[in-house]
Amino acid sequence: MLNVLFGDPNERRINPYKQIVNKINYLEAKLKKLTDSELQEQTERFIKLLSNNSSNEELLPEIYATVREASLRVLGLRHFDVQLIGGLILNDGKIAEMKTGEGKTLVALLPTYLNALAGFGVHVVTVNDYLARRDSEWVGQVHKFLGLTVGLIQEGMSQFERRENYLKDVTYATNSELGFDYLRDNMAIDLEDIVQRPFYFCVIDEVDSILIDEARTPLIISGPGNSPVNKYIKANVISQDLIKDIDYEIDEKARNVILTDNGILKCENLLGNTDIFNLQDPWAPYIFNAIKAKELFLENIHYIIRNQEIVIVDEFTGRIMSGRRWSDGLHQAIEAKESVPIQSETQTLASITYQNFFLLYPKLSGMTGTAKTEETELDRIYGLEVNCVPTHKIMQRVDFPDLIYKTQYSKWKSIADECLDMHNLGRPVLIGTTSVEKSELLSSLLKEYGVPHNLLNAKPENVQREAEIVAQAGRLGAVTIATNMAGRGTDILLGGNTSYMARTALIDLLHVNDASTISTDIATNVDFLKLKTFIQTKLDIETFINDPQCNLKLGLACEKSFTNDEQIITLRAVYQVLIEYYEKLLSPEKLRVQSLGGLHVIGTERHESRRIDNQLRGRAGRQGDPGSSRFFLSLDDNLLRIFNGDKIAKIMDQLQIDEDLPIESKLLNSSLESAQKKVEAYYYDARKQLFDYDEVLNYQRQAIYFERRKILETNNLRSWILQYAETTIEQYIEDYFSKEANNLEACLANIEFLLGLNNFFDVIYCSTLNRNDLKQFIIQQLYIAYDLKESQIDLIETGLMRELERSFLLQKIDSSWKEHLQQITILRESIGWRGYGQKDPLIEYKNEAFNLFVNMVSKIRQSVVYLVFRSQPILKN
Amino acid sequence: MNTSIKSIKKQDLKDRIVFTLFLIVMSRLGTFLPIPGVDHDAFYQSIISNPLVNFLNVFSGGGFASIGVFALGIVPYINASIIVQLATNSIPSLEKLQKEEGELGRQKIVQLTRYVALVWALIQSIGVSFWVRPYVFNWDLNFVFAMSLTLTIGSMLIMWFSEQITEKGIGNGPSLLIFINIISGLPKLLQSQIQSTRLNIQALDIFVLVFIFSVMIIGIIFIQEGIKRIPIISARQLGKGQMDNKTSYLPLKLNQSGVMPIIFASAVLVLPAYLAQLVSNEQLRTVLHLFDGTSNNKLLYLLFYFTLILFFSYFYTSLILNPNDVSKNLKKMESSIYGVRPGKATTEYLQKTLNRLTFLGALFLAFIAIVPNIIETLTNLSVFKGLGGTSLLIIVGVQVDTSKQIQTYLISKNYETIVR
Amino acid sequence: MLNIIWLITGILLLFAIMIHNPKSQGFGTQNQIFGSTRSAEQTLNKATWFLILLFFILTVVLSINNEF
Repeated sequence: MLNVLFGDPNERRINPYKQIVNKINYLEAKLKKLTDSELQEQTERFIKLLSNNSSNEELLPEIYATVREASLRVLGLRHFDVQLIGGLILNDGKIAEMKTGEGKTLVALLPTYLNALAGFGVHVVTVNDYLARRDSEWVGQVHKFLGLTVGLIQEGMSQFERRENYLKDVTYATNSELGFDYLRDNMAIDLEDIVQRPFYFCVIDEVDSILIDEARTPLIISGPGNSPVNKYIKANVISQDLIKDIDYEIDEKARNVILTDNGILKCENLLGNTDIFNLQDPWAPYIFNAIKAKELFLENIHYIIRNQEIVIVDEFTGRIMSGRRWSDGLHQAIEAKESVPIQSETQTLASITYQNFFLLYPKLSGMTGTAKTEETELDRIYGLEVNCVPTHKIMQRVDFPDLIYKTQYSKWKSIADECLDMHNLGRPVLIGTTSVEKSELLSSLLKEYGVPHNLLNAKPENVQREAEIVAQAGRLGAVTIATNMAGRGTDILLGGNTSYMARTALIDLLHVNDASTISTDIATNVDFLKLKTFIQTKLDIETFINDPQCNLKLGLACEKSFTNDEQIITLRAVYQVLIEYYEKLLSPEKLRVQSLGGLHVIGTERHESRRIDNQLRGRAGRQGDPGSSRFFLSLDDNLLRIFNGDKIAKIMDQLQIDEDLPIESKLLNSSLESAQKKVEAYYYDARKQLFDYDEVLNYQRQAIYFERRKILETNNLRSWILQYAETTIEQYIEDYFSKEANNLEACLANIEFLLGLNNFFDVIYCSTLNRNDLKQFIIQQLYIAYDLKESQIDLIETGLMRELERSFLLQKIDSSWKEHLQQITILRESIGWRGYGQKDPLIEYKNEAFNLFVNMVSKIRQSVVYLVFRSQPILKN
Repeated sequence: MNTSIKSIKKQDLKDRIVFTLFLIVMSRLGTFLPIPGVDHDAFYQSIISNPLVNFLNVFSGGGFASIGVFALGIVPYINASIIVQLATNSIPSLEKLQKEEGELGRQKIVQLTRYVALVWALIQSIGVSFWVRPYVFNWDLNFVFAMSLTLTIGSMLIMWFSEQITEKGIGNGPSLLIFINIISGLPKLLQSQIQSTRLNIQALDIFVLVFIFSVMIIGIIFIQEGIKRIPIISARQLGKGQMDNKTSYLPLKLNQSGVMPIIFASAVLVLPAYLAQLVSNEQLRTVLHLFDGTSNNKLLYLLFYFTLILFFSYFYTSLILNPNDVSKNLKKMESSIYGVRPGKATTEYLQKTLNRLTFLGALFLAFIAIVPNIIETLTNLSVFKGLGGTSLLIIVGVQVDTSKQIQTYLISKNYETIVR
Repeated sequence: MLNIIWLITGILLLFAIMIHNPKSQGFGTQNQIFGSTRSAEQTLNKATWFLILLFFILTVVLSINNEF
């Protein structure tokens, strides 16, 4: 509504950027004249100028022009104007929405280079390790060319490697690795164990996936806990006996289970008449979890079984999340259900939400193909404004209206029919399903129909071929079934991905020994055998294959960066030949596919967020290619079922529609949209709540981590310990003076207990002193006691006192924080009830959490002082 | 250090307080902004004696004393809120919006309230423009139109102010505005009291007054804040082996319904007087007068008032707190009351406890409401008339809530210094 | 003449207020806005204040002139 009044706001926001782009274009001619080394010298020049406080803004056009030129020379890719706009938006700490295929990775180069010049280190965040590596090796070359160092963090790297990589100017990493490294850094015992530098700037790729989809689950580092395994097994048995709707009810929306009165009785009988909520012998949590495992968490939809383990499958991306476990005993319940070995419960040692994690960066930016629908959330929580970048070429994709069927059966049949049609036509099809199970269902259906296809889902046997499958997905007649995970990172090129195929061929050439399997394509005069011989003359294939640098060199061979390495040059030459070959081979195919209408995307269900629907659609029609999309829905889809599809079902019944006929109706479409919006709002609620409540914890976390870091960095903790002791003693004294009933003896006894002094203080003397004098007196004694203790301990080994202090401090902080986290979790869960007293739970939570925190802190102080003063190190003989 | 606490979006406490004060001043100013076309002097003279107007005056902060732009005050909005809240509890589709649709649903309810407020303001403003007819220079349809528009806009503006206060200031907007209105009426009240009883004030009187006043305040705080804590265990808690947590409880307020019973009771109380005006039969009239407080025997009147408050307390509480609902929610959250089996047993337990609490709370409430009247009868001091139960309750309530909020804001500051 | 401006200002003001989506912090609700962004909100707020000022001034002027 406001748009009509005030004009398109997005246009207005982009306009200032367009002017800067003009300046950059203007500078392009000048930069073209520079030699390679002159171009490289620009970096130093910029650094100097920036450190002399020249404004970022003045140098901006020139810096970007430099990057553009470098990228052209190194990668052979010149930034389009729209990409420059994207880069400018990113530099302003906003989110740039760029449609799929616009070349986001290249865009990220611009702000990363600029901000890395400050020397504090820039992070580029990707969705998975593969992309991080690919990007760092690919576009990272431009940085290297310009003289910056490029780092990469991968899962499983050692601490040393991580530290090295974080020290680089630009570091590519996934969000989870970044988060976990942060948490681990704050559990470090030694300064040397800390791997990250202070945060400065980060660019998040696929920012909506990371900040919204993944933001629901906090990052948790957990340690071993303890829990009785047999309860899970028994609870599972009991849950089998319970009957749905009689003994329990399911709330699918909230993923909750409610026991009816009947059900509770039954449980108690089965257990032998104990109260399931009994404090001493609780059964309730186990039973609830068992029922949830039975009804709400299903194999091949929410998890897969691999190696006798339950591995979670992420709903949104369809990827497996190994190492992650559901909390609160749910994972154990599922393990009991599937009869796999049950692993013990864990306790949280440290945690942080992605929301608060990314807020640690002073400057933040992101890019994605789909953000506009979520811009409110991104703005409110992260302060990130969303700007849409116009596409380089006009988008030609046709989005057909949804087809709605009455039952799943008729829907899938129609989908298979459409696949068959498209396949016969020759158009490549991509079908997006929402779960592993459904993808397999469709796969078997297509097999029946005799449609050859590729299956891409989280099952391990299918994951390996991901890159290959995606590369081929745009070829004539290709049919690809994918769970959501194929929505990211790799573009589907019409006619096939020539560079991928050339690269694969190159690898084949090197590895395949049997000459007969290498074909000779006479038509284009490419003799593979000749190529292989050619390679062999320049480098020994055997040794090359076994060279650990092999993959890296292969990678470089397929790029255009400058290199001196003979082997790479050789490989590159061959690669070029192969590329030409494949281009010739595939380009008629590409034209053919384009003329047929491009890639056709089929959606099988509306996802829980329109954003994900849009991502799926966005796979087609990239860079101005023709393409189309259509969604097939049915009335018993999850979305409609949970979020009131009964109205629509009633309408359909009334109209007495034939089972097999779809409905194309605007009314239905708008109902669907509103159902989706409701879902989105529901999840937004959950995330916002999570954020609001975690904010409290965030303050506390910051305070503690700050203290902890200071302790790590200080050598002499004497003043710390003394400060803690003083504060504790002051507290005791305050207590005594404020409550008249408290007797001095008790107060003094406490202090003596704390400091390990027995019957030290003369009560009579002390009672004559006023508050201040008493304090002074006792504190004097404190110092003396401390010095005594120190010399005593140092007798055993010099410097031992310092070590003891540090280790006690860190240990106590860590263990208290762990307990505190537990308490906070419990508080969080039970605070909702305060609403009945007409109090705002959030405010109550803040107050109570503060109290908990204060208690924790004084407990830390007390225990540390106690440990320091009362520990008696024993020499081991 | 990765530890700078980002507080860009959190407005400083000071800023918030300043903003709130600013808006309050604006709202007060508006009451003095005279509506064009009305003879304000004549108007002022005549309304002083009208009790109904006095009542309204309290809430709109004297806006009725002279017809200012903000004459209607926050009243339309408050009425709209009450209506919508009652409707939400009785109409299932609205109920669903409120409870199950999350934020979007709540937003819709809020918007509904705003529109109802608009309608109410319109109706009331049209009514007022007819009512002031005798005092207008140039009464015609034009005038009616313009005046209604002005008054409506005024009231909507106040509503907007209150929303801004809730959003960017301190405390709860509407409550705060009512609070200010009541407070600003106090000096005048005191002044008029002192004038009328100037000759009879003795030290003893003042002492008694102050004493009773403090007792009332304490009583009110007790009622407002008094809660019974019902300990709750959650299944998840049990799973972690944590027992006996003092923070996990369900608070049941002593006075669930706040000031509503008094307001309703007062509304009903006006009936006998109104009826008395309509009825011509002398005997009937006398009987009615027994109930409306204008006759000399106030006993029946007080009893009537008392009973009404009790009744409305139960009624209103049953509307807003449904033990069955609570029991269901407990089940949903996999929790139960310590020592009570979930399901029907819980519902019964809750109902019993609720009844007991409401009884106590209602007693207190009724007592507080009656005290001013009793004092007036006994001492002939009608100071407390204006400070009747409702106002005091509101004042205290708002005060407590706001200071709690301020406390919470201050807490965040403390985090930075607390560790050492 | 002034009348008409006053009238239009009034109606616009009413309109502006009604579009406003309050972040209500009621019992147990959280504060957030759905469907409008920070910048749109800011513009609306600025516009509303402007209208308020205009309306007030016009009312006073009209009141002084005592015309309708």
